Amino acid sequence: MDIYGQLFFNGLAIGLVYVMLCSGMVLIQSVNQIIFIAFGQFYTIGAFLTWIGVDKLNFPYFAALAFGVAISFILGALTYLLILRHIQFKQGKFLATLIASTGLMLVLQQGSLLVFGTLPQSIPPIFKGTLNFWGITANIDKMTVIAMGIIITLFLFFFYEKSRIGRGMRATSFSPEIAEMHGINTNLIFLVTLGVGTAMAGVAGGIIAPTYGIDPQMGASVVWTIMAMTMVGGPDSLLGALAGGLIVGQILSFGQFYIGGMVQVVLFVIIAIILFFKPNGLLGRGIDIGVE
Amino acid sequence: MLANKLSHNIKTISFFVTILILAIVPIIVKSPYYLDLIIVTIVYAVMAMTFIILLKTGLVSLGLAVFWGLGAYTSAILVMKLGLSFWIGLPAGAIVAGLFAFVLSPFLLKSGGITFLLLNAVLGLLFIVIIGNSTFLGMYTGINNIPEVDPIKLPFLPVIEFVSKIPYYYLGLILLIVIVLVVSAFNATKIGKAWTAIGLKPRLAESIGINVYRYRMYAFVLASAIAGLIGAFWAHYEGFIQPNGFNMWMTNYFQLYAILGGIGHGIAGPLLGAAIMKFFPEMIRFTQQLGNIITGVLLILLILFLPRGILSLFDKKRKFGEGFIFIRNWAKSSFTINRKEVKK
Repeated sequence: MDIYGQLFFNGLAIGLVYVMLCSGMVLIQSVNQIIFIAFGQFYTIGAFLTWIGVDKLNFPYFAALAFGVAISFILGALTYLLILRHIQFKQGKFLATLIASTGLMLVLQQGSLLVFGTLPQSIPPIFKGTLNFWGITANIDKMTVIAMGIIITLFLFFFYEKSRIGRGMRATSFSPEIAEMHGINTNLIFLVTLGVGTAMAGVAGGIIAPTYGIDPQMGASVVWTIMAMTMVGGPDSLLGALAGGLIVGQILSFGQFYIGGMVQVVLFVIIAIILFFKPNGLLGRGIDIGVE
Repeated sequence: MLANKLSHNIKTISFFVTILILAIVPIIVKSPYYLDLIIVTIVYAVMAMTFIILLKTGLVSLGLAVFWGLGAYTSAILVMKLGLSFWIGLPAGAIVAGLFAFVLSPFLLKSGGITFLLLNAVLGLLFIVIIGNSTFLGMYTGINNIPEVDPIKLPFLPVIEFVSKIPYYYLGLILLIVIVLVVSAFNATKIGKAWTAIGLKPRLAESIGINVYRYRMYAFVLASAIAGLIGAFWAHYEGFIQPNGFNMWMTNYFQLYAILGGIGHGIAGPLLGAAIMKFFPEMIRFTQQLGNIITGVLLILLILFLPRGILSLFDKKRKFGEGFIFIRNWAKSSFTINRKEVKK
């Protein structure tokens, strides 16, 4: 029982980080209907800005986290204003946005290497010590990751389902034209969505910084895995992102213990099977990213 | 009629002139460093061509590098573990990649479009982790010391040894010419016409009796076989392969070369795009660390102001001054959140 509980606990912590990343990606995919592969770089940027805030500017941790999230939001909004706004409504938008985000990825990747240096970093844990309950040795730091993950995910769901802008997002993701006819400022919605999506990546980066350590390449390596995860739940469903992130977190945690490195093979085979039978994912509605 | 014939002749003549110019390149370029860049450019341009073949039928692939890697691994394994000659490994790479594509096509091409894209992306991830976890295929460190191409022994001629870059350059050039001829031949037949029709509107093509699935399968198998062929050449040219050399970013770069040159130009576009992306970072080497940033900014500017690629500058239909008007509109509308400005 002990070992199962421990594995579940570890899987939950990493799964909630994936949930935050996936829900940011899903927001961008479902509302803006583009594939935004520069997304991983915002994860790096959020993590390193938190590190700069704590290590260099001597902010308290949560102020540094807020600083990182705010900069991520602003960068995402600027991306929409300066680049995506001009290409995401055109014919062949899929390739255009793919190339534009590749260019952005190169700029942000090299820029973050220049600004933050090339070395892996870590910030001191916020809370030290461990708790023992039900036979689990729980690191309080990981419990903080879990608690903050739950709070932020709940906040995002509340924002998406209840707030005025969230309602606008859902309407826009259904059909931009009809949403516009009903008086929704779709341009503002696209802007806020991209900002919120990148801010989710930034907050995920900031949250893992004290527990798992950060390095400048982490964004580039994680982005395709996030895309695969969003496919499990559905590329356009926020609930699907929650399911996908948690399921993948558990598969990785248990699989790593029992079958080692082959767990990724199993994971991708499962994803391929799900996609073959349900091309829109488990909970997805199906997005039109203009491939054809 | 006459104009048609003339333009056809011009095309043929320019093809031969280009081959002649490319054939005398090693006489002018002595530095092995630049020859290496040119060979890499040829390989990447061929990969970008396969992307355009698929794009022509309305399929966007995120897994091209898988077939490239499959060809490379097939040839490397055949030569190193079974002791066969490179001249068997090269076609074997193409055949294995093509067969693999043929076997997978019922799964991948079932509903086309987004499913194809996502399943290809998963295939790309799966390829890396399978090879990374298999001791036979050399784990994540890959296969090193792949033997060079076997010397060609022809009667009455000196033996061609593959020791310097020059024979590799000519081998790459011959492969490129063969691939270009094969692709042009396909484009000229009924199959090529069907591809164009499917690319314009799959539903419409289906309604006039084109079997969309079958023609897409032809395109997919052809593109994969070409990727496998050039992959086998790549493995022996580089001398080492590792699974992360065939990751999704590589596929992404191939798309980039194709789009940079111009999607409308199936052969010249990829060559120009790959050449620019290979040589430009070398030219701006004095700015070492800023190189990637400049490349990225140029890509963004290109897609904003010249979305149909560099070769679209020479298209006849283009109006003069289009770009300037777009720049003015871009500057005007970038900093307003006004719902009237949404351009469809």
